[in-house]
Amino acid sequence: MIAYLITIATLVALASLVGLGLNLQWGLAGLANFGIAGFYAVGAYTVALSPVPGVPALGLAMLACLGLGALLALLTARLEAEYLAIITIGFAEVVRLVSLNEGWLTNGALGLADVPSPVGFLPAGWQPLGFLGFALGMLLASFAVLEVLARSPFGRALRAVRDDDVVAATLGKDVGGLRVRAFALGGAVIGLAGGLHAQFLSYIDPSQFTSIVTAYAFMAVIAGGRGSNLGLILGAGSIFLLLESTRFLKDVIPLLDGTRLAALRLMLVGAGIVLLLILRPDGLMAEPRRLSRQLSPLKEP
Amino acid sequence: MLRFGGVVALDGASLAVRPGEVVGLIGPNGAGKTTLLNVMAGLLRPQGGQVLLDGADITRLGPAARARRGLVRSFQIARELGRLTVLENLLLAAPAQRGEAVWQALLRPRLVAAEERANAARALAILTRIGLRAKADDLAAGLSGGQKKLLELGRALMLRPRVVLLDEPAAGVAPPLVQELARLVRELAAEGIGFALVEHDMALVQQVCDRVQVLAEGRPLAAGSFAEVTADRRVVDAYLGGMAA
Ligand SMILES: Nc1ncnc2c1ncn2[C@@H]1O[C@H](COP(=O)(O)OP(=O)(O)OP(=O)(O)O)[C@@H](O)[C@H]1O
Ligand SMILES: [Mg+2]
Repeated sequence: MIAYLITIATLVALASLVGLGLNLQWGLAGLANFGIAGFYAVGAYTVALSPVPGVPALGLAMLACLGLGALLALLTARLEAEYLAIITIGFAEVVRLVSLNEGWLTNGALGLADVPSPVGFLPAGWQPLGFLGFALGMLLASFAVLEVLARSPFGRALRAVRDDDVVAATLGKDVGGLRVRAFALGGAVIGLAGGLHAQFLSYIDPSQFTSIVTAYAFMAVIAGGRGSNLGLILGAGSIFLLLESTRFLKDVIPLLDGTRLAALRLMLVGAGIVLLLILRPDGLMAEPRRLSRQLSPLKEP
Repeated sequence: MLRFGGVVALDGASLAVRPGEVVGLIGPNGAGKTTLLNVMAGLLRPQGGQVLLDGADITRLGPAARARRGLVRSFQIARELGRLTVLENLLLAAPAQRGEAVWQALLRPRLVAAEERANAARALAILTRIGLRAKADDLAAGLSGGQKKLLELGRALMLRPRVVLLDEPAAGVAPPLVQELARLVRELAAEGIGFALVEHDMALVQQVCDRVQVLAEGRPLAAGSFAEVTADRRVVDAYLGGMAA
């Protein structure tokens, strides 16, 4: 049971990281990324193929996704934001095809095994917990960095670009440049999550990177509240709680077999999000605001 | 010169604004006033003609580059950023913010915090001036129509502009606030900012404009003082024609 809980907690941490990346891209900058599974896969394969293990491999995964994110955003920098969203779909498909068919690189459908764990030095019994700690450390560090950015003038400019890019431009903001930065940085965070995924499972193959990865990330951000990093971690947590707790339904309702249960669980998650959005249309938490008392030593008149 | 498909929206229209001067731009509905402001602000690219700022040709610059050079517009239908607070709307417009660079935001927190405090002090002073100080921490979406127009002006001022293009700043603003607006525009002009003012409220035009240009069907129709222009037979006809149509 403990091992099961540690596994779930690790998966929540990874999902939260993906959500953090999407929250920067879509929550703050308004750039929908339907190719999250592609970035996640690139991160995972980069780590699996990396000549160096551990943290440096994760750095490579982030760099690869940073570059790809910047490239996709640059390609569409002079167009409406919707074009970027369309390109991301194509990007994920390209990544899927490469991972399946370029056997010399990715070993095709057989996948890549023996990805070294960053906590391999621990005694075997302690490795799951050690990895959870490692993943939580990465989550915390990413959260801190993204939270500083969200509350900074950079984050404010992104929110302006998201809500009305014409106004942002007439106020002197470099709309294209801001979008490229946000998309690339968000991509790097998703790449980090993908890299951790590879290190966690130590074995990856193309079937792990389907569009359900993308769907969960959007669910976490929507449930948590677009623009709020804390909210989305709660969102990712709730979705996994719902997904995993429904696993035990078959003990309660004897009629359910495996396939029925799998379908039912996804339906329950969907229903849960609908219910949440009816009760709290803006998600669990609102995005942070800058208030004058935080900025001014003066008392309100 | 600017065409929307078959519609010739601008043809030979021109507008010059000197520092400290308030130029009125009037004309019937559909005359092309907003279109002319859009061309000046860089939101529309004209098929012919040029835009100059301080003698430099800025026709090929985008709106952001023009804003950074001190040319900024407000919108006829206020475009507040509703999910930002009133104060954040102004802070956003502050020019040359280091905190908008990712690395500075992450690695120079104290510098960025000091910059934010300085900008906030200026933003709050502007909010006091436009009568929105009490609304500083409200979401801009909650402002009344008139207050949103004032916010547009405040945001423009935050840029330390040299030329401000106002598109019907008084439309939908309550009469006492219009007086406030008139006083403010004169005050700011005295500080050296040039204004182009598109407005249907003729009392306001008469009150604040140094000179007036009339546009009809995209072409310049008349120019001069408010009295000269309103006495012009062709101007009266254009307005009546516009109403009859
Ligand atoms: N995006 C567009 N596409 C096609 N036609 C347009 C567009 N924008 C404006 N027009 C047309 O160009 C002409 C000038 O419009 P413009 O909005 O500049 O007028 P205006 O003088 O600002 O009028 P108002 O006083 O009603 O604000 C009108 O005939 C209008 O219908
Ligand atoms: Mg107009």
